[in-house]
Amino acid sequence: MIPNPPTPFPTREGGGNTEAYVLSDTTRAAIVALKGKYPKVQSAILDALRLAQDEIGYVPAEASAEVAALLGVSPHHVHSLATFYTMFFTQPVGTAIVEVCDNLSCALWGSRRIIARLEEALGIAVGETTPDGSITLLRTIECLAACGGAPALRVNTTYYEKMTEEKVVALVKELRPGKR
Amino acid sequence: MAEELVELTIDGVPVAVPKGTLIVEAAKRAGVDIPVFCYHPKLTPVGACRICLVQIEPTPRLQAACTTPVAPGMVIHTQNELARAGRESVLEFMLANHPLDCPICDKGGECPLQNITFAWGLGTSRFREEKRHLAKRYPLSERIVLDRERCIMCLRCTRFQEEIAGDSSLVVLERADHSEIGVAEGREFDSIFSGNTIELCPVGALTSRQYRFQARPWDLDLTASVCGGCAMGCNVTLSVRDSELLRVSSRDNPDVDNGWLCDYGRFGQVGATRENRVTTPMMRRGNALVPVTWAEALTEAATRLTAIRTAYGADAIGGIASPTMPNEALFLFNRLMRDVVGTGNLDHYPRPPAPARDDLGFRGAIADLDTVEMILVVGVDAIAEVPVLHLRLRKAAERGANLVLVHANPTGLTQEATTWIQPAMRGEATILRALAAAVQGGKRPAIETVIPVDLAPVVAQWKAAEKRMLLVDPALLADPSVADAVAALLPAAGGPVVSTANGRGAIDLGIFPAGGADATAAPYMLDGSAGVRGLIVLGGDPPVDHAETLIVFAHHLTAAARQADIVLPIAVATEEAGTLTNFAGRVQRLRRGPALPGSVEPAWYAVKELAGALGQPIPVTAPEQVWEAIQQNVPAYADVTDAELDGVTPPRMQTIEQEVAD
Repeated sequence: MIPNPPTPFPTREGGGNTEAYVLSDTTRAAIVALKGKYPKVQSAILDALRLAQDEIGYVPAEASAEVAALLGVSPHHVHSLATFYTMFFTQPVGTAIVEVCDNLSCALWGSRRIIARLEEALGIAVGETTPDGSITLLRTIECLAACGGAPALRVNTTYYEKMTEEKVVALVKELRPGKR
Repeated sequence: MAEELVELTIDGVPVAVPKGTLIVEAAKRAGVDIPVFCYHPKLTPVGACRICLVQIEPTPRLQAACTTPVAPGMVIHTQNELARAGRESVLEFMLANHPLDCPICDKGGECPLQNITFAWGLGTSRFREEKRHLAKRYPLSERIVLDRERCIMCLRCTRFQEEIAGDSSLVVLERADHSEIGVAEGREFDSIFSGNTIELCPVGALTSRQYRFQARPWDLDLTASVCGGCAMGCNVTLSVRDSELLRVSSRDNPDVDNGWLCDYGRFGQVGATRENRVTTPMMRRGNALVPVTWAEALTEAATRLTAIRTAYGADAIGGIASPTMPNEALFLFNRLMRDVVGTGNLDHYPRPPAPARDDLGFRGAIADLDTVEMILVVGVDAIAEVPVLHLRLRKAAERGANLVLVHANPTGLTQEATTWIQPAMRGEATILRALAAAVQGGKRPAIETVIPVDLAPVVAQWKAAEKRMLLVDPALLADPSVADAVAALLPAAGGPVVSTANGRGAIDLGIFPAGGADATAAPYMLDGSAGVRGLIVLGGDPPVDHAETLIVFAHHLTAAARQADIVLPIAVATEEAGTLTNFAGRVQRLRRGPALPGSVEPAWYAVKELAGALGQPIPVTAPEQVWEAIQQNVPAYADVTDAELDGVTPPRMQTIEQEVAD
């Protein structure tokens, strides 16, 4: 028969059960405050996602939906942006995020071997997090703009350049819990 | 105002087009075919697919015809070696990962990728690698399924949802070579306009769960008709195979639907031909309705109606028609009740509470929304009542028209409106009166109840605007003071938006109690207080509380049909031939798509048969004859032309360019 009419514009703001919120009142207030900051409210989505990730450590689907409701924009559009930008994580990540560049310069200087060595030393594959939740290994972000120091990698905001297999093993030791 | 023309040459053909025209459009004028996937005349160009690459002298690199505007003196080549090689390469890349399983793809036969590959492709590929494997049969909603391997990322679907529907309910996830179409986690593709993306998709990525694998396109019989879902009157194409309606798709009419269709019209009408149908006449025997022949049912109906008329007079019989019935059925029903039965107990249900006044008819046309400066929408929730009108209103707001919305609750248009006036309960009436008073008398708006609204700016804008349109909920017109107010505002275009499929037709054809008598209005016939003993119901499902003899012309086994003494099976809109009048007064032709199931008859024919059984045959043999009679009897319909009835686009397969000749 005739399909159920979907709700075209979900409006959650001002209603709903506060216990279901994944963001704190402070973050929620900060996100609402972003609304007037730009000519178009869509421009506030990235700022809002950053606030959400700062609080939770990543952007779960619930947080995306909450950002959408607070800003009054499409939840699908917010999810689209959260998945587009590589600095937003839609899955839980470790406290240390290891991102290895495998663009052209780094690849020519052996980033594939670096990645293989990292996987071996950490005991996880690219895209995974160590069982203790401390380290996440990500391939393969786009160019780190450190071609002069290829092969390069980044741990959170710190760059490590001209990496060798030995240096990588030492770095992993450093990154283990208790060492940092 | 003469448009500034730009002269250029495409494949040696000189052409002059308005400044700002895209090369791809200029090529159409020159009669040159440039293939496109991502380009669509109703969406913002993105240049995503590159199939439209052409060479513009003297630049040696190819450029996208869909994003490059014309310039004076351009010399463009679409058929030289460079352009040909570029097109072939783009197709080769596109097909590198696209599954070449056209024989089992639902799009096969009406697929732009298939057609363009056939026309322009190399025919071979240098790729020997394994193709990428992505999600197949990924359900986006109850209505649409996505095959990510087939998607070529043309972004037509996401642009439609963002730009036309305005809900961004389908988006691109991830980035670059990982990009894919999808929705937020844990959500559905929840737009009532979602079905349009199936038609826009140039490959077999987005397909209809209702239609997929039911037919091959070349086996379909296509019929041009009109949607019977609401009062918008969107033009549709009915796809029929083996006499069965398999799908409903759009049929662009710029004066009505602009090529779009809502999901109720697209999917709901297919279900309506199949589910819960009454396919044979039935008569009550004890507690059960048992199948009988038409002759038996009609004879019994005539006997019982005659008995009531003999014993209690003709006014002991009443008739209630559904405002979804075609004009032809309504016209003959009017004849049946007034001339054959001989009573003025006739009404349609549901209907707006007050019969229309001559000065409250709809003025102008839906397409006026594309040019008016100011639009005042009072009490109409377009997306819920006449969904495709919502798209037209959004388009007007996007173009910069001043959209003032007066509605107690947030509607789909709240975000688009320039001004949203949220009156307290029943405040729409108050605001209309105040507006009319201010516009007429030049006084400050006198608002008689406490509403914290300053109407002065709206009044000033209304007075200043040269072209304006008023869309008003017809229910508000029951109050004579509001009716006066609306009449005062209606030198503007617009009028009441009667939302039932042929509600406007029912009003135009006078399906009302004799003399506008309230005592015999449909609700009083239904609850027994009008003294009606024999009730004849034509379509719909009015709540019958009381009737000694109930005769129901039913398309579905409704509650009313279940209660009936005699049930006469009639067609649904997609099975009817006839006409429907949309809320703006445009009369359009319904054509039968599927075969009539069982012993179902068209409504006009069934009504005529009952008149015959009552001893007074109405001498018509085709709906066209009834239409001629309507034209002779209803002045407003006298001048309706065949061109208006038929719309502008012939029936067509899905996805082939939605365009209308300039």
